[in-house]
Amino acid sequence: MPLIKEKELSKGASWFSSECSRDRAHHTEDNQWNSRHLALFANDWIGKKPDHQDWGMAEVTSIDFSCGRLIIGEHSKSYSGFGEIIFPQYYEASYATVALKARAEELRYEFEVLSKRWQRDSRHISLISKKVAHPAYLRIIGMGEAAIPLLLEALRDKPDHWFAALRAIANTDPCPIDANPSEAREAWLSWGKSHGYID
Amino acid sequence: MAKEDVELEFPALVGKDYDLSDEDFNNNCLGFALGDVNNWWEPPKGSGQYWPPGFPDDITVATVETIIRVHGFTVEITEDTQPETDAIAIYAIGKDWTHFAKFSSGAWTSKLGAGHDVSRVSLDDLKVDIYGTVVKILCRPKQ
Repeated sequence: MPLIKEKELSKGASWFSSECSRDRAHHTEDNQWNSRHLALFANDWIGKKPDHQDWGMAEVTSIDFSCGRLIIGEHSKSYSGFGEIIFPQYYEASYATVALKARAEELRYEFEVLSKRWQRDSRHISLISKKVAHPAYLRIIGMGEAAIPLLLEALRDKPDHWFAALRAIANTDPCPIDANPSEAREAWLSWGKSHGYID
Repeated sequence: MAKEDVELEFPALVGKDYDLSDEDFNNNCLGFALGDVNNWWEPPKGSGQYWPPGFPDDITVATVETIIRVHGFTVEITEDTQPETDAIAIYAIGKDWTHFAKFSSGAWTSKLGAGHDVSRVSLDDLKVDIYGTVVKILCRPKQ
């Protein structure tokens, strides 16, 4: 997991400081804001605990999207220092990715229900053009970009014809023209990794 | 997917001694019938689909019959005739094909969507709503 050290603070820190200041006031009452604030490369931390011990980190337990900004705050009573740390070179991409993955998690249950319904109802259909006309498949496309991580996970875990949905949502097609389904699957998974949709 | 799942959609297979292969999403019934198990034959070409060059990008029986004939299946027989050589049966709803079965080594075999292929079945076993009915059977000529 990439962490950034204080000496690497740069212009991104000024924004982050202002956000922290606002939150610091918010947290002053319970005297918990004596910790470091972190912005980590989003692909690595969402839903996970930082395990980097050098910083004496506490768990990242909350992500606040309410202000429309990425804030990762944690309160570590075991750590007496204070700082604002950001990963400026990744900030823009990180925020977009984090927001997208958070939205994907909101949709995960519905996606799984719809994908199972689609697979059950269309598994014997011989034409992809008919398979993808199923209402559940269309609903998944309607989820938009947030469905991309879920589609790629589904494609990774059990090969199926998710290519039309990915193509419709992502508005691109990384598959070579001569790719067969297995090769198309590899192309999409590679694309998903390079674009940060899946690990 | 076990036989029980297949039989939910193909109830005529219940109680029959047929075989079920492993699932393979790389090919569909047309590729399977033509002996190409590495490609999903469906127009248009691209995005994991294969369609032979020089043929219209449509799913009409007329177009696919031309493709099948190019592969050597040139003799038409009726459904009540047992093929004496390899054969391909075309299922259709209206003018569009929906499915294929192939006759080889004395038995009908068919790839079901992106899943299993079933072997030692009859053409009637596969006449379900999503496939419609058999509209044409083409055989290789006798040697």
